[in-house]
Amino acid sequence: MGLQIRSLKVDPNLCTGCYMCTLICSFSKFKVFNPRLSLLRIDYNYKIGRLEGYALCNQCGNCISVCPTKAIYMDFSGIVRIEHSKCIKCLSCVSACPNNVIVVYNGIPYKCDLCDGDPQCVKFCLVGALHV
Amino acid sequence: MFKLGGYAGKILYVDLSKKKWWSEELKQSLAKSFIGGTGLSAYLLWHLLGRGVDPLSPENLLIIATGPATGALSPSSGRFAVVSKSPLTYAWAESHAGGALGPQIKYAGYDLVVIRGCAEKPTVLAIDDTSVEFIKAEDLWGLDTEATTDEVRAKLGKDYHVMCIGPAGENLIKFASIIVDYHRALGRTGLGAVMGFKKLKAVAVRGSKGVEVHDPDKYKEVLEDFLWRNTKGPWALPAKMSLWRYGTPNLVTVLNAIGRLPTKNHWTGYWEEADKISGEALLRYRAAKTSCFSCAIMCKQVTKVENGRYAGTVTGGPEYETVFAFGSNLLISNVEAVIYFNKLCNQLGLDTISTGKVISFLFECYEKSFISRDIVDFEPTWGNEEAVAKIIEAIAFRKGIGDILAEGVAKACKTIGDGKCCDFALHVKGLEVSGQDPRAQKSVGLTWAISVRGADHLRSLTTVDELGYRDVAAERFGVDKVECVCDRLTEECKALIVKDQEDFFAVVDSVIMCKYGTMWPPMYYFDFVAKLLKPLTGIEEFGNVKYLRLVGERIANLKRCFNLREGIGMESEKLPKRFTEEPMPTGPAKGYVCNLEDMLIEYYALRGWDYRTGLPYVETLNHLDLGFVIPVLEDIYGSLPRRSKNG
Repeated sequence: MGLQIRSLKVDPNLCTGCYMCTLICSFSKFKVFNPRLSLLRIDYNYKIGRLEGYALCNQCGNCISVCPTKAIYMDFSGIVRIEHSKCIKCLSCVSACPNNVIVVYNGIPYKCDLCDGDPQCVKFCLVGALHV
Repeated sequence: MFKLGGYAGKILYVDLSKKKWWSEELKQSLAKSFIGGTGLSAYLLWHLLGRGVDPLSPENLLIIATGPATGALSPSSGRFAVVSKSPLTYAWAESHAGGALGPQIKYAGYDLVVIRGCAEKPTVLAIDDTSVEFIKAEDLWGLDTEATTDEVRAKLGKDYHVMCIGPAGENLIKFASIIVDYHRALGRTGLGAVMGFKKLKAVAVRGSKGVEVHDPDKYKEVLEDFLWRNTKGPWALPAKMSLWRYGTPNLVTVLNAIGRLPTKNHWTGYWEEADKISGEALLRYRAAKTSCFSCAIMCKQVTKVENGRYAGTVTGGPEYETVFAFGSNLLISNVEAVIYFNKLCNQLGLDTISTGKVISFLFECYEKSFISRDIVDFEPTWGNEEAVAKIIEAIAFRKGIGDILAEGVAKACKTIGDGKCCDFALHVKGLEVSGQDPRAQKSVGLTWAISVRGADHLRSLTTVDELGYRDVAAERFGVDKVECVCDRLTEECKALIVKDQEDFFAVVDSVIMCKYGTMWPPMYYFDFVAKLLKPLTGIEEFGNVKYLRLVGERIANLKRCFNLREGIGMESEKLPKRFTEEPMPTGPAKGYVCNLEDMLIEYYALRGWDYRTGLPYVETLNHLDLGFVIPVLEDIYGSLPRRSKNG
């Protein structure tokens, strides 16, 4: 058994489509409320009341190997981070991300870092659909 | 220039006749004076709509409004408002809905959308960040709301949120609704008919711009407070045990217990069979638990009937108001039938409250032999599910007696039974009464009478007396008022709390937040809104509760002035005799009537209006910076009253 990697998980059956996770995510990262800038995406079907699709960072690390400047690394707790001072904005990581959840804001790529251990999306998910 | 937080900063204008659109900047001074939502809409409607405009004419406006909180993770802020002049009442029209369309308008870059004119042919308006398109929709005309929403999203993309009308709106039914995101309804005042007249089948919106706030750090603190109130605060558990668990139908049991569950066309307020249509009874049919955008209360549900006569029915809700309107109001104890009628009304685009009330009116007419059996092809008797389904369709397509009922009870009672039935045609200002009873909660009588849109609970319904919240009463109105405020069966103190709630809701409807959290549970009040608005917008005055109260009063007065300009004043502020003269016949509130007069006199005094003429004092209008309405009203009414020097 290797290192247990902590990442976001979702129980689709519990989601009610309030989208508060996406709002707090974009606000925490970019100080703006915009579900399209959120580092996790949900697609809720209001017609039948079901979460139809979602995309989360599972800290897989695919982005690490494609980064030409080694700006992306896995820290000791298993969270994959971008060191923005080393980033040359080539956006290789964006295309390497299997879940398409690296968001480009003002030309710079951002990814889920679990809010340094206090993931805000989990905190604002009052029904417990999101957890770590 | 200093940019306000929370606001998009732009108003979108659309002219359907000319197929043109343009945007104008939102003036900061207007935001400061009227906040947004219903307040800003009141200002625009006053200035852009002429006096006496026919609601079903190209000149009427349809305003789709958001507030500064929309899209910014404020508590229960996924709602938006639509404002117009009502084809049902010819008065102020306003309706709010949840879902997720409102925030998309903000994300597309607009605070408000003002629609005027009339399309030549059926049209869908598609709004996004960069464009407004007028899309031909002849193929959609005639479709129900679900099929319309499906088609529009198939054509434009799944990321569009859709508000649309069904056949009822197309056929200009005076209480046609607009359905949002499949299941949410802009139900009241016939806004669907306004869209139908404009040949506007649907409005579809998507946006990708964000909402910025003025002071993110301070705002984060507000969000933490919001989270605390909804998870750990004193109202968190009560909200979870009722609204979260059952949704609004939880009210059925609560209201029956106080004798305020309208039964048999509001004949009484207590029904022995209420348990059969309760929130608990509905739980068995729940297919999904859902919520509106940015809401922590989460009262919504999708319901499905698996077996029996109504098998295959899937619908959002039903909400309490629908359950009362088609359940106890019509003596229908089969909750599956109620679910089906909810679905039918939403598909056709009919307001469930008004529809239920015109049907119960017809049933009472038949019971009292004002109509003969041969004018209808079904037996209009209490509890007859089949008749209800047929009448709903007859209304939506204006067939037979449905054509008369489609005009609303106020007009229908003049045709059916030659005006002898008007005593039990239950409405105020032409809007059918909602699911309360003023005999069992006196404040409801005042709320209905003074509401600018007619017999409606959502402009000032108070829960502090309804449920006897002594702590809340003490905090808001002082310890010495607790007894009289909390006694729902006395008329005393009710003007005070109704006026207070009306001002608060004027703010809430402008911010925009939901009534759940602000009405019940009383989790948020002026202090929280002040705490929220200041870091959100950067408008210093919004942080001051006194200022917010003034804005609330300003908005409430301006809406009333809109009605006065249309010639609708204090003569319209009365209740059907059922509530003032027929004592409640059964249940916990047995023997009570509602004495409106005393409450009205007190309310007028608190408002700064003259009780003899029903007009606001000049001083009141000036104090509220509404001087611009004075010359217009004086042109109609002669001079406006002035306060006498000694009082």
